[in-house]
Amino acid sequence: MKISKSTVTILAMSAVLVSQAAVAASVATPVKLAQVQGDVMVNNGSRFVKAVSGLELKPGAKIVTAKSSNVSLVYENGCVKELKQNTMHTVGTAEQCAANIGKERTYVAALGDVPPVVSTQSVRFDPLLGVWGVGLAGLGFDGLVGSNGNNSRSDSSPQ
Amino acid sequence: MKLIKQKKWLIFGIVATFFAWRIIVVNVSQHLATEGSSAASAWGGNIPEVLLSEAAVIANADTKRARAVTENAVFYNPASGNGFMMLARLLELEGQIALAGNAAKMAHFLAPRDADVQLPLGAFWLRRGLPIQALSHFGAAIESKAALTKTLFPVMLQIIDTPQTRLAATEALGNAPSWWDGFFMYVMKNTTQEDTLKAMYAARNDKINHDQRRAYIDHLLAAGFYTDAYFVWLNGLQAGQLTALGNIYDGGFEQALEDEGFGWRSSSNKGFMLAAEPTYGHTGTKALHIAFQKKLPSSTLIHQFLMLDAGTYRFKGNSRLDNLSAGKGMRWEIHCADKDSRSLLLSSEHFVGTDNWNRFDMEFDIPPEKCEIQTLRLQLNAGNDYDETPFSGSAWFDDLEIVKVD
Repeated sequence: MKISKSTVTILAMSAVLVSQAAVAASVATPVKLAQVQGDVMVNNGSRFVKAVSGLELKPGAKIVTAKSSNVSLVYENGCVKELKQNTMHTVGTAEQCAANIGKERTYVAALGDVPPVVSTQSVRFDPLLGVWGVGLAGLGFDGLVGSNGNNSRSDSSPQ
Repeated sequence: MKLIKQKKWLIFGIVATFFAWRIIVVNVSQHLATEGSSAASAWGGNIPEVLLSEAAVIANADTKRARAVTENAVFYNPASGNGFMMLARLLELEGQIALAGNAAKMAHFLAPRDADVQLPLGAFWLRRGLPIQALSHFGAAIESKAALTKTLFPVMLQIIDTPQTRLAATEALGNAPSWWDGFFMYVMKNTTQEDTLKAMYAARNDKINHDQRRAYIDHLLAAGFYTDAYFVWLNGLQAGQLTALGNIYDGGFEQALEDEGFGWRSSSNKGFMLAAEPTYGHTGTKALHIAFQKKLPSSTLIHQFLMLDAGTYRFKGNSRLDNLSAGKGMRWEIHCADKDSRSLLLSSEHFVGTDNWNRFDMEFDIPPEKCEIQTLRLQLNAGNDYDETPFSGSAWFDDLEIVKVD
């Protein structure tokens, strides 16, 4: 089967147009910031400026959320990306948002995010491990008699 | 009349002699008790300190008798924290845990700031499986006797390094006074668990000092925790300093040079002076000024860590040179600063001689791998060792920026 030159040309032109349209849609589609709380900074090139709700950003822009700060990125396809505190995020395309992929660095604070496994008041000394005995060998009865031999109420007044 | 006067003097003499004798007896017996001498009881059989010493000697061999002696000591001095602490330890040995706990609480009530009581109190609660309570007693002991840090820091580190107690322990220490700084530095040097440091830092929150923050950020950078280091630094900035954030922090040198984190980090050397100060012909109120006073070896004069994504960028800035003579001169360099890679990404021309304000602009690439963090450095190239030309003059830099190329 032979394909004419004109058919090949039309197919090639169509392919180029379709791919250009796809690239244009993914690159130019702006992302809107919503629910900005705390110190949220955006970088559009060289400097960071304070973010406000409604601000539009292009893919490639960088967003930084400080402690106790968060923001939502709303893409035109309806995808919403929520950034929590202590996050450095590079804005991706709507497709990347939908696929949940993107460049992000997050600092996870130790407190709050990782609750203690066991209530601390119920943790008991393990005599087999002897974990907390180290370094306290000198705290036997000798240690109970003050080095100055004087422990009256007057030199230990409560504050 | 005369007889009455003589009687008064006689009574006064007897009373004075009695008190003098008691003073001698009490002090000698206390001294001997402190020395651990068996002669102490011969001098003062009912002096509390002597009784406590006696109880300590026989505690392990005859616990019941030791307790009786201790109760005697507490009878003679019911305000003795040491007495109740001894009682707590003996009751604990006898297995009377509830009574021992009450005696320990009494000891704390009577001597809340006495290291000689607080230290064994901490050990007592540790044995009883209450490490958080133990920490507070150890803290009180250190407050009244700073030398105890050597003994107690290793024990306290073990408590806060234990995952089950870590958060509560670090929170309990969060409001500790000045010794916390020393403890934080000790933990940074000795712990193998980053979470311990992270929890300690978070619990201290806004009260953290500049030196501790800087040391912690440097520790995180050295360990390769770049994102953590960045946010610890970022969250320590004041509101006014946030406005200087960019691909380069404070490229206009308008903020104070704090030598911390991802801000400008300057080297100190008597051979040159480095400061952000006003001059003419620049934007803002200040520019970076580097003035040379004597010959120096090649070195980094000032640098800054960067957190740039992979891609192409332009590094721009303004420079002015005032009779600058410094070997081959200075130049700006950008390197990868990952643990695994220190490759050079950009190197400017050498700045040397005399020139009015000039704009420089050059392009560089950040590779996609092994370059998560970078350094921007002002590097001195001192030239050949045999060149005896003295270093003098100065250079100014302002409006440094790194712009992403689309």
